[in-house]
Formats: sequence, structure tokens, C-alpha cells
Amino acid sequence: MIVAATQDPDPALAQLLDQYLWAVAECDLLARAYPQAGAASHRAIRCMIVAPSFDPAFLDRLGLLTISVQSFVARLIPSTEPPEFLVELAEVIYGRRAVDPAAPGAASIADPALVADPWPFPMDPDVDAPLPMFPGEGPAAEEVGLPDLDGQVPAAEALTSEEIEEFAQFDRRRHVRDGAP
Amino acid sequence: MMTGMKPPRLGRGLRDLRAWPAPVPAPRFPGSRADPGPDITSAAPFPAAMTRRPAVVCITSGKGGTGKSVIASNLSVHLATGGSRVILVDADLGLANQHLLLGVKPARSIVDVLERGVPMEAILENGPAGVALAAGASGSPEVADLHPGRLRRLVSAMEGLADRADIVIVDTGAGIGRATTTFLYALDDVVVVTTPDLTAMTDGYMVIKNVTRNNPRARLSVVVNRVQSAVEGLEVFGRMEHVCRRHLGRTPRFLGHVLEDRRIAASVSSRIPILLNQPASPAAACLRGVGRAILLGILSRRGEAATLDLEPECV
Repeated sequence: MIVAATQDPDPALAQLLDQYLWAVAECDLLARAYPQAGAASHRAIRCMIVAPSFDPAFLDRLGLLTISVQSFVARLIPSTEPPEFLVELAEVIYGRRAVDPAAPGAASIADPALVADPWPFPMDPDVDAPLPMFPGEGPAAEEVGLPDLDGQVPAAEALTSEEIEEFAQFDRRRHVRDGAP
Repeated sequence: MMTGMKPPRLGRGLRDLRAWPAPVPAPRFPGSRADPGPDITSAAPFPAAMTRRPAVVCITSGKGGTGKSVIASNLSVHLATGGSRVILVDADLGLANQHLLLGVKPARSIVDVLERGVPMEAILENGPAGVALAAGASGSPEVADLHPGRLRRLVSAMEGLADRADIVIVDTGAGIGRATTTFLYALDDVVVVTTPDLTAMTDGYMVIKNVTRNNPRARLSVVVNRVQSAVEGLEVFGRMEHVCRRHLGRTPRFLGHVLEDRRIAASVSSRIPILLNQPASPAAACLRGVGRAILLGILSRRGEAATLDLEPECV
């Protein structure tokens, strides 16, 4: 998780921590939504904050957090065309102690103490075990193109009451949570 | 550690994808009527890197009003801007509106293909950013309720586009009517657009269910449109994925979300896709993200390398 601060990094850090809490609670959902990006529920969340500069006191406060937040300084190089950014670890510039993401205190979404119940339903190991994506997520196809068409268009299959209730329940919980009438 | 990081480049993210054709000359839009852009109706030289048949992506939804057509037009523009030869087929038979969204006045339409046997490639119109539009029929009940045999002929006519495009985007009608399912059950890539509304979710799931039953080889993906935040998009996808997992034994792929943005309505009114009209808007950033996800899926299936290029605005 990366936040970029244009001026004061404190609000960006607060935003990062809010997002971190949400991501910890929803790590399984993130893993399902972005498997192609390498997201997996057993992998730790890495937090980074990028800013043009940092107050040394801010870096000291970062070190007091129970989760690891790596800080980077981004500087514009105007002489290049197009202009590029140089990104460096803040500790290199400010001489602070290097942050080890794997050090004790670094949070991991695999830490059960940090994982809140996913909203809106708890995990069901029997139902929520990994399943294959729809076809095409496996080996690369030789060709992608227009298929042949055979036969009549089949009649549509309606939803069952159980399927409809799954969505209705989700909708009701969401409205209750958000305080909607 | 020293890392070079280029600033965000609006509308150019696709160029980071390796093994992709060289970009076309800069888009000549706006003013597609005064400046028709590159002549895509002639057989342009085929890029050496793309000698395969085109990828065909079907954009659909369970109910109307989800923003399916706006997403289809903007995805087409995004992919074309990145250098792909894109054909957008307006298959919303009877209620076609892609020509309005792209600011194109078509001389011919799919009606000519159906009624007069005109080849599909002959009805293509130049659109913004080099998108070629096969316009649909609007206000024609006869076309909206075609016999299955004629519907299949229409899909077969799309074969004529094979050597003129890298990607064909098919914008279908909403729901699971006969015309729509003809495309859904025939094509391999189906993108279901939904919104956080209960009815859009259930109807979108119905599309997924029927495509799963009748076209098991289809790759199904979900885009959640008109969300207030990325979290809302993930929650809606999470619910759809949960129900698919529980009842269908499969999980669709998440292509991303599109933030609610009133500038989309303004771009529709101006007949210029928001990617060209308001490229720095949050919704435009989201649409580029969805476009990248689609392209990554196509490239990964073809075994071609690709990299992610994230934009911070879309969260």
C-alpha cells in the first residue's frame, strides 16, 4: 500500500493507516479480487509513504508504530525530458535506521490477532476454499477469435430464491451499516 | 535505493505493455466529422507483432442504466489510443447509441448487414482516436427481435472484421434476451457491468449464471460502475464472487471499478468520450485501469509479457 504526500505527510500517514486496517480485515477479498496482481491472503501488507521531504521527527514517529511503514523521498529531475522522479529511501537521505519489514513488530495479514471478521459475512472454510477462475486464466490460448455457432439459443435460467436472498441480505446489511433508511 | 519513476501519463498507460504494436499517430479527435482520422475501412498493413485473430470482448449487463455502453466506448478509445486497432460493434439491437456516445453520424449500420447483406467491414465508420464503429440500429423493433438464424448470421458476419482489428469490443443489449444471449453464448470474453444497486447485482449475476451454464468456455469478468469509492467496488465484487463461488463453483475475474462522476454525464452530452473530454477525471483514471486489466488478460492468455501501470487517481 502506497500513499503519496504532496506537502505534509501526516494526513497521508493517517490515510495509509486507515487503509491498512481495512486491508487487514479484507485481505481475503483483496486476494480474490487481484490474484493476477500477486495478491494472496498469506502475504504481508507492505506500507510505503512517498513525499518530497520529511521532518526528522515524523520519521522518528514512524519508528514507534507497531507496523512497518517505509518512507521514500521523491524528487523531480527537471533536466530530463520528460521530467522524471528520483525516489530514494528516506533513511538514506536523513540517516535514520533502516526499516526491516520482516522485523519484530512488522504486521502481517497472516497474524490472526490483526485479522478482523470480514464484512459482511465470516469466512466459511467449506465454501470459501480456493476455486478456479473462469476458463482462460490458466494456460495461454493459442488464438483468441470468433467461435463457430451451432444450435439454438437456450432458454434462460432464472435465479433461485436462495441466490436472490444472498444479494438481498448483502444489500440490507450494507444499508444498516451506512445508516440508510 | 534509486528508482526512476515517471509521472503519470494520461491515456498512455497501455504503451507500457511490451510486445504490443507501435502506437498509431496521435489521435485527431475531437472533430471526427470534420477530421475523419485514419482510414480504418481500408485494409491497413498488419502489425508484425499481431498476426493472430482479434480478441473479441463482449460488454454486457443484467439491466439497463449500468453504464455499459459508456464503458464500452471509453474502453475502445483507450485501447485504440494505446496503439491497438479497435472495432466497436454496437450490438444493442434496436436501442443502439454508440454513435451518439462517439459523436459519429453513421451512413450505414448493422441493419444494412442484416437486410441487404452488406459485409460488416463495409459499415465501419471512423470514430475518435481511430476507433472503428459498426453502428447498431436504433428504434427498429424488427432488428431488436431477430430470428435466431439471422442473429447467428450477424455474429458470423463479424468474421469479416478479423483481419482489420486487434481487438473487437461488442456492446450488447442489457439482460438475457435472445439477441443478447446469442452474443454471450458465442464469444469467449464476457465483461459484466454492474452497479451497487441490488437489482443490477442480481441481474448481473443472472447473466453470469446463464453464461456459465451455456458457454462454459467463456471468461467472465466484472466491472462495478458508479461506485463512491474503491472499497464499495470491492465489496460489490466480493458479494458477486461469493455467490458465484457458492452456487456456480466458479469465480469471475475483477476488472475494477469506475467512480461515480458527473463529468461522465457531461461527456455523454457533448458526445465526446470522457477519456478524451476529461482525461484527468477520476472516472477516466478508473476506465483506463479497467482497460489495462482487459488488455493484461488478453496478453497473458497469449503468453505475452505485460506489466501493471497503476494510477493513483482511481482509488
